[in-house]
Amino acid sequence: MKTVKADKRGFSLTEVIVSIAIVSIVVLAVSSTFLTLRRIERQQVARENIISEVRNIYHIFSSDPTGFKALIKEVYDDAAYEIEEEQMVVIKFNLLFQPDHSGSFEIKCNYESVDNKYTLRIELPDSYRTLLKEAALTRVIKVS
Amino acid sequence: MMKLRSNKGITLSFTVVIMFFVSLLVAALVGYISLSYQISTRQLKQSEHKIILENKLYEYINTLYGTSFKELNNDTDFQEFAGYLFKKTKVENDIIIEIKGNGNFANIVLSCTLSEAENKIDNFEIIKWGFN
Repeated sequence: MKTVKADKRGFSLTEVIVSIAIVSIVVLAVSSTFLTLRRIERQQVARENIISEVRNIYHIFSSDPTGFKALIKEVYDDAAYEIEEEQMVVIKFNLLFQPDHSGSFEIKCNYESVDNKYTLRIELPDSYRTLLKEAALTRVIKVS
Repeated sequence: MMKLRSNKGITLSFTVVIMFFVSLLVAALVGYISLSYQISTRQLKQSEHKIILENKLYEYINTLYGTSFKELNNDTDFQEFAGYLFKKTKVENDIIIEIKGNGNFANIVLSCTLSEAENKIDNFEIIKWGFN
């Protein structure tokens, strides 16, 4: 009967070197993809937060167009401040677009009232200006 | 000094297995990134669309000021106004207004119910507001 001998040679040096090279290339590709993915994800989170904040601002405006400025300052606390001469309330946000008084991003709420017509025009930060269409940035409510 | 020597190159099966797993990994990663980005972008566009529908509905409601609800007729089908489709339906003393887009997201309908208060022509209130 023929006996089968175990192969004691293991991997050749070339195989080991090539595997290490391939593994390092894969690790490099995976880590760079992971970093890109994280960056994209952060951008997407910021975009989602902006849209959610815009909806929130509109919700506050729609609930009481006449008392909008007082209400928005109450909701956003120290993250919001008013520029009276420009009829504007500015809300500050951090990198992830969470309200933060020391944040570097600003959403400007231009508020105007003529007779019984109240207009709110939202200005997004420069880097996110193209995120929402023009039609999504202005709301006009008439109050009798 | 002892030298490490190898007479053997890479076997074909070894190469095939490695290449197979590497391509599988790359394909899975690319697929995951592209799919999650597409889903997220679509959700953002949908949210933007909802904001626009709300703004357009307010614009439409503003045109109703000064109109008695008795003068308004039921719309049989959606009518175009400012690039969007609107439909009014009278239910007793209330009016239900529906709005939808005529392009993407045509299945998203925003509806509101207006109630005429105390027979005053220009005084009505929104009693219901929401997406279907």
